[in-house]
Amino acid sequence: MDLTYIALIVAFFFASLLLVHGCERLRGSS
Amino acid sequence: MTTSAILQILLYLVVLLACARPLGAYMARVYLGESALNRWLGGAERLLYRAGGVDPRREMRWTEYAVAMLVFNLLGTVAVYGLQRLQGLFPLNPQRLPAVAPDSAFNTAVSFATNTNWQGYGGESTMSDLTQMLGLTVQNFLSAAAGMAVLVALIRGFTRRNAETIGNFWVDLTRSTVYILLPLSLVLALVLAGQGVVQSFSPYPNVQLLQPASSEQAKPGEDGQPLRDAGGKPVVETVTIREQTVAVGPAASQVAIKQLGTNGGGFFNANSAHPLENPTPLSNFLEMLAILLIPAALCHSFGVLVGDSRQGWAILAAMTLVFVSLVLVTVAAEQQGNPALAALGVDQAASALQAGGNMEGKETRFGIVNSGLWAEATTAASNGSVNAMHDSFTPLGGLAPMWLMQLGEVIFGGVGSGLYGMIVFALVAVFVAGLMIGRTPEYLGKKIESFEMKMAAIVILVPPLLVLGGTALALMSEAGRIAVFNPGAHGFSEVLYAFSSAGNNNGSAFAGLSANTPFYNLSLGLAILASRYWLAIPVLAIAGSLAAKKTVPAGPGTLPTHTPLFVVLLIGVVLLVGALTFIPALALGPVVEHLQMMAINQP
Repeated sequence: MDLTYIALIVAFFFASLLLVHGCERLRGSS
Repeated sequence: MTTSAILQILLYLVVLLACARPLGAYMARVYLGESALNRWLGGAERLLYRAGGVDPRREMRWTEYAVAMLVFNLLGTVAVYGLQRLQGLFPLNPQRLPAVAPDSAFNTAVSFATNTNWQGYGGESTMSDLTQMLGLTVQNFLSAAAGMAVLVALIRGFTRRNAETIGNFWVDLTRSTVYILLPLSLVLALVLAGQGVVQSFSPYPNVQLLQPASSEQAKPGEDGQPLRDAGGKPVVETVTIREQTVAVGPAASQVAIKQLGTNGGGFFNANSAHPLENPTPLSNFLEMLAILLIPAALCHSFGVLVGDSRQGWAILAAMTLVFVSLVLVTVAAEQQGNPALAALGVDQAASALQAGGNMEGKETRFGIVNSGLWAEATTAASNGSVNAMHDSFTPLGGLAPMWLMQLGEVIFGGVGSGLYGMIVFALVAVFVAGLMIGRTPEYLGKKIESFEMKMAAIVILVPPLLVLGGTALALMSEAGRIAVFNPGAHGFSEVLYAFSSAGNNNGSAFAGLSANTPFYNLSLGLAILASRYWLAIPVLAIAGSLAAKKTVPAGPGTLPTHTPLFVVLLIGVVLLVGALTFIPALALGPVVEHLQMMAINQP
């Protein structure tokens, strides 16, 4: 159970890194 | 509204606004590296950088700044989760409290790392002293400092021209913590301890009650189930309680930063309604002042840092006007009382002997005004601490705090996060004005173009998606509905309030919702995470984009952003977005409840 919640936290922050990447790509194309 | 109420609200506002200018100027000097503390403690600051392997002169692009923030918060979240799960093995646990359940530990870890401080647990019965201090209090400092760092990075976006970088996250985080939050918290903690807020590592003492309390309760059998007589009725016995266990701990040090850092997570379950967390009228005033102190002062810091203090005052004026309006709504509604009680002949008039009005869920020592004012301050700022139970407010009295959260926590808002949210609304306001007159919008000398508006749209749309989507999900699922104690419109309000709180990083609770369940711990936890980082990231992207632009000199067609006209425009945009997004949902909860309450007196 602990690993599940830690994996969830890590997955969220990884998704946030993707948002950073997406915003930067959007800036480059604007 | 009584004269006493008006005077108390005025006193609060005067002290708050009087403190905003000197503190705001000081914080601006801190970020410029020019304050006295920067000089006195510069050696310690450099030592911290050396210990962390940080080069403070190295500037970061916005993407690096965002990644540093995310990695730092990821480590903090996992550390707080681990600390809760392992607290039984660590010292400073005088009550020998066991490990926190995994779902509650997840919710609490993300809640404190994001400056939300939603609490599904009771502090004194769940968390060891070590967890409270090393986990929760440390995050109170760091989450607040992270919000301030993002704000400073955004301000650099306005002040820099043709630049690729927006500062160094580690420097902004360190300076916010060491030069602003720590000194203020130290002073406030000492004053609060002087007022009687407990600060102790002792086990919980047992004390004899001055007046023993007796009550009747079902007598348990050997199997723990209630004994029943021959007729099947429970056997009742009278129990007299002569002794009480008084929870104590290092509360003063946590309460100071929980108020100053707009965190809100109480040491005790009753938060600042608890007499050992908020014992006197002075402690109540100071704690209430601390909620809005830094968010208000940061507006002046913003003005100083962009080189035009009128810009900061304009934003502060917009925040204050909305705040005061909603304070008046809540205090008036609570003072009006409940017509159902009036119909029963209950005296709800204010007098020398009673506060009058709706006193359910409020401390008699705080009365209507200090309960209503606190409720508005704590929901205007994303603080979330309480000194009264919002669930017991009248429907309209409870609607105002809920709507303050739903406005996006930009009316003062969290330290740093509130102002960067309001600046995003300012960008939308100049964009709307630009559409009206057919000019490219500008704000503080920077052209606002499509990329900035796309990022602003993310900032404005993510919280409503989390709030309304989360509420709908909870009400459609059995796991969500089963935790609602009250039926009908009030139960709907309880769920809407919970997701409004989590989806805007506030942390206060309406009560009446059994939220410490796997469903709510998980769903609210995810809403908390998204509403923090998926707003901070686009804000940093705006900072990076603006920093790279050249500065455009103001021309005759430039909309001045320090005038009363702009203040009205900004308020209009904030209220319009908030009203259009949330009035349908509010109509199903507090508005229906208000109409039901008023119908009681109808023939």
